[in-house]
Formats: sequence, C-alpha cells, structure tokens
Amino acid sequence: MFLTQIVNGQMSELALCEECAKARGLFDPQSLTFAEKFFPEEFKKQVDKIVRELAGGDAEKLPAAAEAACDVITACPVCRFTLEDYRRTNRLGCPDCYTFLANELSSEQETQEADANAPDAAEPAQQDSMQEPAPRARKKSVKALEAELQRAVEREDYERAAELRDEIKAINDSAKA
Amino acid sequence: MTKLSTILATPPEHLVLPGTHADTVLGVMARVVRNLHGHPFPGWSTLDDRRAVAAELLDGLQGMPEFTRGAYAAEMPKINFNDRRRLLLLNMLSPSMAARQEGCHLLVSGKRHITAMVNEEEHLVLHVFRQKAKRPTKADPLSVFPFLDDLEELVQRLDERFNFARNRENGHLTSIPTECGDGIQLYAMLHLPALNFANMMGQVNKAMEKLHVSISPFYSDNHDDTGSRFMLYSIPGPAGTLNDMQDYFFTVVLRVVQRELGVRMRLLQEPGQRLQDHIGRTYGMLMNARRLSIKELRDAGSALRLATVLGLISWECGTEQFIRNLNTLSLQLAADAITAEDTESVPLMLAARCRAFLQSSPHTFQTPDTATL
Repeated sequence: MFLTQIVNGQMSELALCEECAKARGLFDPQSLTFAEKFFPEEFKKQVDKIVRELAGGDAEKLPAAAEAACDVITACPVCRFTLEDYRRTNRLGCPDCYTFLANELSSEQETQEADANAPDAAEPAQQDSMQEPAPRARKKSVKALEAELQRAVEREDYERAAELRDEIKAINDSAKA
Repeated sequence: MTKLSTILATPPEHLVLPGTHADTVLGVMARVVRNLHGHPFPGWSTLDDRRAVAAELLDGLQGMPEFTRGAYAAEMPKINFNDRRRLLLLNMLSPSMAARQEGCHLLVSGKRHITAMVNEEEHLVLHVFRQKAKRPTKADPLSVFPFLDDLEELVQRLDERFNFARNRENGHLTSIPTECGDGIQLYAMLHLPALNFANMMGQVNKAMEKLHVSISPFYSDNHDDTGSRFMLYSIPGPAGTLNDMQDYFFTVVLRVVQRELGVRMRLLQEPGQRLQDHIGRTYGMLMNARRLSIKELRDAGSALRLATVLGLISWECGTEQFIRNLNTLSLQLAADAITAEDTESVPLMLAARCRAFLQSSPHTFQTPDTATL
C-alpha cells in the first residue's frame, strides 16, 4: 500500500506491507477512498498519525522508517552500511553487503536499470555508419580452456562447464582428425 | 627493492615502442579489480581496516615473481606529489589512487608492466600493460592474443593465491554493484590524428556510445587537449562473459583503427593538400617557435608521428627508431614540465628542446606513394 502526504509543501511517500497496513487499520483500500471523500479531516488526521508514528516526526526519514517498521534488513551487520548510504553513494560498504542486502539491492537495481533502459524521446534514432560488429573468435589453448573449466566447476557453474567441456572435446577431435 | 627514482628515470619500454597497426594502437592495458572477504571496501573503511587488508594482500603479492626482482613497493604517503603526477602520466597510478594516503600501497613490477594498487577504490586494483607486441596476424590483427593469454594466466595465479570475494550470482564483488562480474576492464590507447584532423571524433564518440564502449581523451577530460590520443575502454561485464567481452571490445577497436586508416588515405589524396599543409605548418612551428605549451607539444608530436608513418618525412635513423626517440622525448618533457620549479621557463624549455631534437635528427621531406601505403 502506498500513501502520499504533503506537509508544508514537501511530499512524502510511505510504503507499507499488507501486515503493517492491517495492523494500522488500513486493510481496505476502498473504505479508505470512501473515508477520504466523505470525512477528509478525519482521514487526514488518521494518516498524519500513522506517518508520524513511523517516521518519528521526521518526514525525510520516511523510507528508512517504513522499511524498519516492515522488518526489512536496512544495514549490513558486518560493516554497518545502510540502504540509505547505498542510495546516497551508489556504493556498498563491504562484500558481505551483497549477502545481507541482496533483496533490497536487486529491487533497487531493477528500478535503476529500468530507468536507464527507458527510450530517450528527446534523442532521435540515428543511423551510424559504424555498425555493431560481429565479434571475432579468439582461439584459446586447450590448457587455458581446461583451467577455465576447473574454475567453472569450482564455482558450480555447470552450464558454463558443459560448454567448455564440449569446446575442449571439439578441439581435441579436430586435432586427432 | 628498487627506488622510485629508478622506476621513473626512463619511460617504461611499452610506452616508447611505436604503436601497432600503423602506429594507431599505442598500447593495451587491463584493469583487474579484486576484493577480500570480511573487510570493508576502502571507501568505507578505517585506517585499521585498510592496514589489515594491506597486510593480507602485500604478503601474497610480494611472493609473486612479478613483484620480487627489481620491483618497487611503498605506502602512498612516501610518494610525493610530483612523483604521483609522473606516475599518473605513465598510467602506473589511477587518479583515485593518486589521492590516497595511509594504509594504501603501490607496487610496480620489475619490468614496469604491472602496477598493483592496494586500497584504491577496491582492495586490489592491477594495471597490466601489453609489453612488446608480436607481429600482427590475420587472426590477431591488433596483436592482443598473447597479451590476453598472459593476462588470463596472471589472473588465474592471483585468484588461486587469495580468497577473493565472489558469489555465483554476481561474480567478483566490487564496491559499485553495477561493476561486479569478471572484474576485468580492457583499455586501448589509440592515436587517431586523421579522425581528429577531419573533425570526425564526434561521430566516433556517438558510435562508441551506441556500441557500449567508452571513449575519453588520453591525458585528461579536456577534449580540446587530446594530442589526438584517446582511450577506449570496455564496460565491466557480468560474470562469465569475459571472453565474449574481449572479442567484442577488440573488434570495435579494430573498426575504429580501420576508419582512421581510411581517413588518412582520403586526406593524403585530397587535391587541397590540407593534411600536408598542416604537417608543414607544424614542422615550421617546431623549428622556429621560442615558446611551446604542453598542448602545442602534444599536437605537434601527433602530427610528426603521422607524417613519419605516412612517409611524408623520412628520418635517417629509421621510422621505428624515430618514433621511439619522439616518445621518449615527449614523456621526458612532460615529466620535466610537471616537476619544474620555475613554471615560467617551461614554454621556453619545451621549444628549445624540441628544436634541438629535430636539428639533431637528419631527415628529408618527400611525397609518399599512396598506392604503396
């Protein structure tokens, strides 16, 4: 459930999971619309109360407060790097952040990638003479392929390992022929 | 352990060699990025964290043959400001490492073709340069395959030596999540005087953007001061795509090089002789100028290289030797300009040494046969 509140001209957005919404009496979106329409003053007071309760009165802390209220892991226990730090810097604190903040990171990255991949209406499509080239294949030695195969097995990338096994087999077969 | 003054006394061999492919590919470099488990990334670490990382990495790195005989190693506070600028000039230091202090270390291999930066923006960053390029072949026109094989072997030894942070989903973990993957970026340093002279670099930039290959001026972010040298570099790819990325990147580089060579021929055959006029004017400036800026020096050096490769100027010492001498002089002059105490005297010094260099290198002007080129 998403709530938008404007306090002193500053817009704040609040996202609540289903359980949190139910716990605060916001279980029926239709009745909310009804309340907003017919009892605007009462509705505003109720939403204000929830927002203040979650944010501790600080509108800027809303996303973090909402996440905390929803039991989302917002800080890496190893380096204390928070999701807020990530949003501010686009960097992470330590390799373990990838484990502890994995779910939150993937959703943030999906949002960023969607934004980056959105077509730019202002830029007209251009035909450039330097077309995308077809890659040349670098012939690798059997030794190098075997080493790569070993690494693929170690990291349990069996799909890649199978490709490498076939590649090695093809080279060996052609050498015999 | 070698002193830094010895490392900086003469430019490394890979920087003075003539470029391959008609002097268009001046060099090839790889940036290898790795991090250790259980330690914060340098941008989020305390001095104690950085010291712990350095202790773990230095111990292992100094056991590698590349960093034993004739190698250099120092903590960053021991490298002064001018030396950092000179190392930056030689690409032996990254810009972010140049600003680092305690807990951050620099190692340079004995052959000066690998530099290892500990606690740069990642725990370990290597710059690996292609050494002497072998003769190009039809399958490997840019002479990069031996370099890529050596790089692979080096990275394999490195990965065996340390327990680097990686997972199945992301590959090698980096401080910037979008840069996770194989942890290797490739760079090609290109000399593109004809494309620059013909005002076609804008087209090249647009093409590179579409092809997802980055391009920037070689010396700085200043597009007006390039000396016709540009750096093409690959964008970090997801884990397991390294071989495809290498093939793709060098295919793009080859396309740019072919375009440059095509424009060179077109300019040479122009009835208006704009290129010949440009080279003649540059030569006149070098022989007669009393003051030269670094930018003028870079542009003039680029024009002389082009004139030499195209056969417009024939040097008694031979094309290859002349380009080696020119490269050495350019790097020495740039280093001297950086370290000069009296900055007012630098333009006078640059002009005088360029004039002396040309006067001491016997040469003749000639008209090249475009059919043989």
